[in-house]
Amino acid sequence: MGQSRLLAMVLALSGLLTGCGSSGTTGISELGSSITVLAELSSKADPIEQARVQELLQREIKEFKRINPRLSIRFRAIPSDRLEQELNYRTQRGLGPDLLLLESNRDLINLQEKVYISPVVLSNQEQSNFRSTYLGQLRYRGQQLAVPFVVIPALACFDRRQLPQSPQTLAAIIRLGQQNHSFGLNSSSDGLDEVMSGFGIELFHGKTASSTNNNQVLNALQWYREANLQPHISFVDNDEELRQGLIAGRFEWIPCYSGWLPSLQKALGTNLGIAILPAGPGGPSKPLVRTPLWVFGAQSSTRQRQIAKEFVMFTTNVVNQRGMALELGTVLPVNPSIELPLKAYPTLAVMDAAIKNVTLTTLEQKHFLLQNAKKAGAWVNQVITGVQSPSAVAPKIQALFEAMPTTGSQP
Amino acid sequence: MNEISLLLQDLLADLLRIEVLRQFAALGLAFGAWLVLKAQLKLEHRPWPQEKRWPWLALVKPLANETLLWLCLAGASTWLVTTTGVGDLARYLTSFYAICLLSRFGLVVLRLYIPSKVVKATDLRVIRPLLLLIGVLLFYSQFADLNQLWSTQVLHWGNDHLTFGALIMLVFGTYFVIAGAELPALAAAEVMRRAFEMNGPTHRASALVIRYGLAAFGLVLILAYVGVNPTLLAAVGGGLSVGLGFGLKEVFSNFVSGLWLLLEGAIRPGDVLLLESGKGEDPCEVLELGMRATTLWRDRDNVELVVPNQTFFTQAMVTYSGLRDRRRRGQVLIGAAYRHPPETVIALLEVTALTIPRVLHQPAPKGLLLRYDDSAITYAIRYWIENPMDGVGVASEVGIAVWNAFHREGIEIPFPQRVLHGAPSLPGSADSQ
Repeated sequence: MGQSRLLAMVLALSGLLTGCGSSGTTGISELGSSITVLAELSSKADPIEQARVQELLQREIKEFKRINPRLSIRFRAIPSDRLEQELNYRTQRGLGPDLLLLESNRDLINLQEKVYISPVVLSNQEQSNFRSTYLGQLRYRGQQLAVPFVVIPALACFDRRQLPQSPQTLAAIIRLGQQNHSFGLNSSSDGLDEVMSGFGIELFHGKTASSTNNNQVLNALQWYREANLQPHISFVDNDEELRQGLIAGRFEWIPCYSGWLPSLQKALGTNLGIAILPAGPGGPSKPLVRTPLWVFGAQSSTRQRQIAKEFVMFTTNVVNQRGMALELGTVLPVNPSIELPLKAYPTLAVMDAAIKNVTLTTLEQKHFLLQNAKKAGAWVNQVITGVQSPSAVAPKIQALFEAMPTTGSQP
Repeated sequence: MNEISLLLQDLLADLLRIEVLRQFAALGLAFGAWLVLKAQLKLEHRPWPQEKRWPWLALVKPLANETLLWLCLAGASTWLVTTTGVGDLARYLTSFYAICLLSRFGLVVLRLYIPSKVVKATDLRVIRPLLLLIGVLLFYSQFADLNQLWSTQVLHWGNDHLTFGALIMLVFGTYFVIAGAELPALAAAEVMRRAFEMNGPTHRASALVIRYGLAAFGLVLILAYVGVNPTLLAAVGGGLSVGLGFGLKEVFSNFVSGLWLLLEGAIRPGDVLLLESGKGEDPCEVLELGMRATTLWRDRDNVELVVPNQTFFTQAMVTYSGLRDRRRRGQVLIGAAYRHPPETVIALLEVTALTIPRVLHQPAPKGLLLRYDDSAITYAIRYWIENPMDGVGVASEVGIAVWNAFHREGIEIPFPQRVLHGAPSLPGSADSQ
């Protein structure tokens, strides 16, 4: 090999090493009209719903490729518990995904700190694809870390054969439990925010009303203690057990998410009743919603980032969001321009009512809650099992919430 | 196959990712640096300090450039990881190269204990292809799920299918089991030789039996892994037996003959034998008992004869290395004039034979008067030699020594003489006139 040829090769390799970062705009950075989409498969999700969503996504990918024949999208699903391991493995090899579809309870700040994901810049027109409140809760330090895909509200699911209608208040649950109606409730350690917000507690505005909240937390814990004393009210620590409990007839009523409806409808048929969650001692229920998120990878070339963004915009445009909501019947669109025919779809009407009064957490709050979930969950369980009194635990939980970042928003 | 094609397309797309190309670029630069360093340092040609003091340095010296390349690659991948946090692909390639390099060092050590020919053959036939295969599969695993590829169905027939993994095991596994059984078999046979004080032929025969045993065991494991249905195996066996009855008869016959010979121990590597066609003059040493044929070495013209195994079943053989011992008896015939007393001649022959170094003293050489011929009394000197392959050479030496001894002692070796008497002349013939 001649010296000049060797020198040219060295220069080319050096250029590749130094000049062509992932944020480059020309040359090799334009390589790759193929993107990788990694979807998180949550162990909490309803398996039938998960399969339907995946099938729908595959259809949307196919349609997107039909419109853009020179582009390629590779779709892979990965179980929740292996997601971070997979991200770490791929990122360290320069193979990080370009787009991720994550469950809403993911700690995005943690993922960004590990450089698995990076923020996305949206133009005003692109932002119009999303309800501003949902988009706003996904900003961190002024940067958009993710965009919502669909909305999955929390509901009450019940068996009409056993329970003609859903209780309107938490007190009614205790009362019905005493009348031999069976209830299943969630006590999972990572669901404290869901549990507490279900009581109508203004947890995410902590410091401004701490004394009020303290009483509300105490009331909630006392209710928990009282509920656990009822032989027909049971606490379980995972979603699947709740679902199976209602299907098998062990429970007549459970708190649920709209994403669980396919399995429940398959088992109970028209006997499945759905309603908004009962009001708590602190006022109407302010449940959380689950919003699967589109998150952008940190190792994409400019071209790949552009393709990923185009695909996200494609999945959240009016046509696809409306089609998805009507076809699945278990999700609500994030695109604010859509008017759903609620009269023709009673399930969607209940879901729409359920999101009128929801609690939205910021990414900082989610980060904080996930970091403290185990500790807080253990406190609640101590109350439920009688190891600690509600009055002993309430100040700890209150202190925890007071330490939480205060910025929050409601739709 | 369509699935495989999709997986390969994915692999190609991943290879073109910017961060991946960056790692390849770093390794490319490291390779360039190595080329320059190699040319400048000339490590394999220059004398090393302490080279004479530590002879083992000479053994690893040929690997100096390869080690230098690994150092360059390791430096580049470490630099990538520390500066960008993304470099596991480069690190993987470097680590894999380190494994290849270690195997080279391992082979250097093996050459000290195992015949170089075997080590080289194992390296070329087994280690390098195996490393290549493992390297390709592990390289793929850096990009995608190898388990998924492994379980991808590539061939379908009826309700059955063959996965990619099963296909790899069938093709490459079978090859590596057969080709790779030699080295472990030799090692095991060596252990057995030391433990049971085996002689050479037995040692070599046991190595061959172990080799076949290992290969057979490996094949059974592969078939079990692939999930071959015993019924299917029986059906294939049935079909095969028909095939054996016709086209493969000779091949199978030779194979079975080889196995039989091994188990029976009638012929073992190292044995010396005479084939019927050898006229008893040219003994051959058994070099290798193969699956189809046996390789013999004939020292007269240094040729290797490849004899089908079944020959040993259909032809009589003379072997010098059978059950009793390897000694061979040779003889030289010589004539002496009638005037010499036979006792003197026989004593001289026996003493003379003992002067040849390769003639054994025990059993002692034996001189014999064989017959009274026309011109001479024919004697034979019979002697024993240790190595049956030396028969012709020793006979020549004994013959020369006998001639010299006869010459020295004045014993005549007569050649045949014929006295011709002329016929009496007839009356009226030209002569009488």
